[in-house]
Amino acid sequence: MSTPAISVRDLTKSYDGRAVVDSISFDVEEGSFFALLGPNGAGKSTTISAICSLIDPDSGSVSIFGKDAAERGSLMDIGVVFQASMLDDRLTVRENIEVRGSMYGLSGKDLDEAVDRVLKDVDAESFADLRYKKLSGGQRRRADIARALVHSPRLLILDEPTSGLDPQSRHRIWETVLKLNKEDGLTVLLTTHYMEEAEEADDILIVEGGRIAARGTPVELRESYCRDVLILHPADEGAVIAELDSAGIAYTTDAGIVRVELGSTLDSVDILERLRGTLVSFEVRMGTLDEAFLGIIGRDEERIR
Amino acid sequence: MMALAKRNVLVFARDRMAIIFSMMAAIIVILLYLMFLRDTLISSYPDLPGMGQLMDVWVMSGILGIVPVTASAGSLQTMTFDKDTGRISDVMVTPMKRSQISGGYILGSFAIGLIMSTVTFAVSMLYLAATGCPLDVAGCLLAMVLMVPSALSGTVIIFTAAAWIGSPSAFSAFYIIVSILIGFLTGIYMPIGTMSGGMQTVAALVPATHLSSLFRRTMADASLDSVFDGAPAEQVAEFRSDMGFDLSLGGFVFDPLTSLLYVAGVTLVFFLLSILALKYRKRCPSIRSERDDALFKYAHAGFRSMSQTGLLIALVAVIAVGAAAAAAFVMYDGGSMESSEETAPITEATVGDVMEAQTIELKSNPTTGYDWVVVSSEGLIVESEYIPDKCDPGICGCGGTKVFRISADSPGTYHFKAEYKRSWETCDPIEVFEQDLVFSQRAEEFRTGPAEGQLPIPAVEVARGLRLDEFDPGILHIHQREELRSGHAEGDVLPFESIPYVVAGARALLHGYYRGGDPADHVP
Repeated sequence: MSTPAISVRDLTKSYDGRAVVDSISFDVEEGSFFALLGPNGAGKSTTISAICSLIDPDSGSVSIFGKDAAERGSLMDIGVVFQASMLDDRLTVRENIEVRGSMYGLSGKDLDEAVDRVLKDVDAESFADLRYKKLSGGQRRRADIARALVHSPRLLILDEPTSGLDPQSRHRIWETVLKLNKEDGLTVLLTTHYMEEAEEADDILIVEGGRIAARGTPVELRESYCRDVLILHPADEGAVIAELDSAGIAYTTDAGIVRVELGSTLDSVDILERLRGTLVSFEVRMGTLDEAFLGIIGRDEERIR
Repeated sequence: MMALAKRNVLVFARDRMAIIFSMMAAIIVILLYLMFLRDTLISSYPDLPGMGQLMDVWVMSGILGIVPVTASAGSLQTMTFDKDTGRISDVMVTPMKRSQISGGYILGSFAIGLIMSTVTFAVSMLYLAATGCPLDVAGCLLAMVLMVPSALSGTVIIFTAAAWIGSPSAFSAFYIIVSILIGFLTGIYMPIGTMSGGMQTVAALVPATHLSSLFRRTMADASLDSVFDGAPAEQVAEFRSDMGFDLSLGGFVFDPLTSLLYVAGVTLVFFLLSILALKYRKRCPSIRSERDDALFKYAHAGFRSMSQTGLLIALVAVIAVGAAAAAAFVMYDGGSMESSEETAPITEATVGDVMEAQTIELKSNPTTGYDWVVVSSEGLIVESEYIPDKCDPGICGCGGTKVFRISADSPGTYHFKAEYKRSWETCDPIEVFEQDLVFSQRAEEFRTGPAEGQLPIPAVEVARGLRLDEFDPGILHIHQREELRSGHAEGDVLPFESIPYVVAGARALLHGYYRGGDPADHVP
């Protein structure tokens, strides 16, 4: 097995005596698309800060492509898109990227080429010579991504890259990131609030209260943490309820709609067989990642109580 | 490091408000100078031609001492801003070392200090050259070299402050205060000589004052020398220390080398303090958590609006304080430095020949019950006359002028004092007039006096501390305060025509008498 892009081992970081990250360990495979999910204050940003050498962990270690993150040498391999805009308002996009590129030791022709390349990658050429201040939210984000890529990193970290963007810009950013991941083989680590974005991930890590709450592919998480639901629209609600009661099947009703949670999708066939003739329509709804996420977080919240 | 420095310069250069504000202290100084100070200062030295140009180069060279400080502060605002907005994280995820990041900010600020100094210098030079101010090429080249340590010192000191202060709003406040105070502390709003003793000490402790002094020495010395050409050494020395050319601290007089050493020492101390600050105030910037985000954006917006409001307040404050300083300066000096006809102060003396009456005219209005009463006139012969102003017949309460004609029997210095009061009241007079009067030997007597003899050039004995002066051509006055230049000592005998023609300083106290004797006796 190849060296993981990111390897986090027993990472712990406390602020004011409160463990924000509490002994977290995980690996991110090279070339994968890895999503880090969690509610606010779960420790996502602190984990990312440790990966980017911005903070020194209290204990544990982080290595990037086998290099210790504490050494800062790993930073050549990392490109970061921060949640907030980090480029200088009064400089043009090109100037911003040039300046940052030269901070990575690029100069002369190499720098020019790198800048042109990343501007093309994120499709930012049309506004490359506008001042950053004048850009729209979506354009800024693309400029931010271009800046993160200027030194050709192998790992791209995106901290909520699409928050606050309109759906069209979000879609566009998304296409760019997916293309970089699928076509160029860039390892992507993403934090997001949007579950549909995490759906695209190869691997999802859900953290809560500084600990790992769940880990898996989107399909695995859905299967483990949420159930399919059979939604019945009865012609005769009383008959349907009587039938379900007699069969000992748990259900809930809400405004003439009857919901039955399913152990597996196929269980619906038996139930529908019993109710044949009493239904107007039915629907088997697959569990969503959103539900899985809420399931995991809700479970934890209950546990905390 | 260079990349970050370059970025900081670029960010600063694009921010027009930041540039203007960083030059605010200098701009205010120039405005105040043009509005009040120039005229006041020039009129303090009415007899010296070229004083205007000297004042121009004086103020310009003084400004060069403060520009690196304010420019550095303006530039280092970027650093506190970067820290506050988390922008520094974006720099910290590059492979640059932390020392290189600090170095980048220092270097950028140094470059900006140097650039702004150079621009100020160039503009000053153009103006001074255009107005024909005497400039010494070597001195000006030296001033350009001096800009390097000057910018470095300003940068290090302000960087230290920024490192300790941390928060951008607090740093903005600091920046505003520095902009307001630095003009005072370096003796540009008002000359050091007009400050109180305590303030003078404080001023001499500020490194920028030393840099201003060094710039004055390099740039303005040529002009000073030409204005004070042939002036007595003591007068020159007094001017130099009043105007902050030569600084002294607790009796120690700085020369250029000790000034530079002092600046270097203070800078070094601040440099060490900044290392301490980075060590003890090491706050690891982290990516802000989402929860902080809203707060952070709010604070960010708040800071921006605050910095704009702060800018306005600062502008108003700087102007107000500057104007107050100028007004205080004008009031403080207006009396003593400008010799007015009506109320010349006691230090001023009028000079005339024996047997010729001197006239003193005082505004008076006896219809109010007030009148000028002579209270001191020992040895003087005083006659007075009241001349009413011309006013329409039938108008009562019209004022006039009381004219005193004063003469003396023998040469010497006399004191005349009159009080404007109601003779029946015992309270203090509402106005007091005092004047020294000098009556000297007549020129005629000297020329034809006992010296008449074979000698074509009469010689005069020079007593201790005496100075020959001339008001009326041919009349000798002896200047009490000034030492003779060129090493002449008490009892020296000089040929009359070799005695330099001296223009008295405005505050000179003159004693007009001739220490007679037969010049023939004194020929070496």
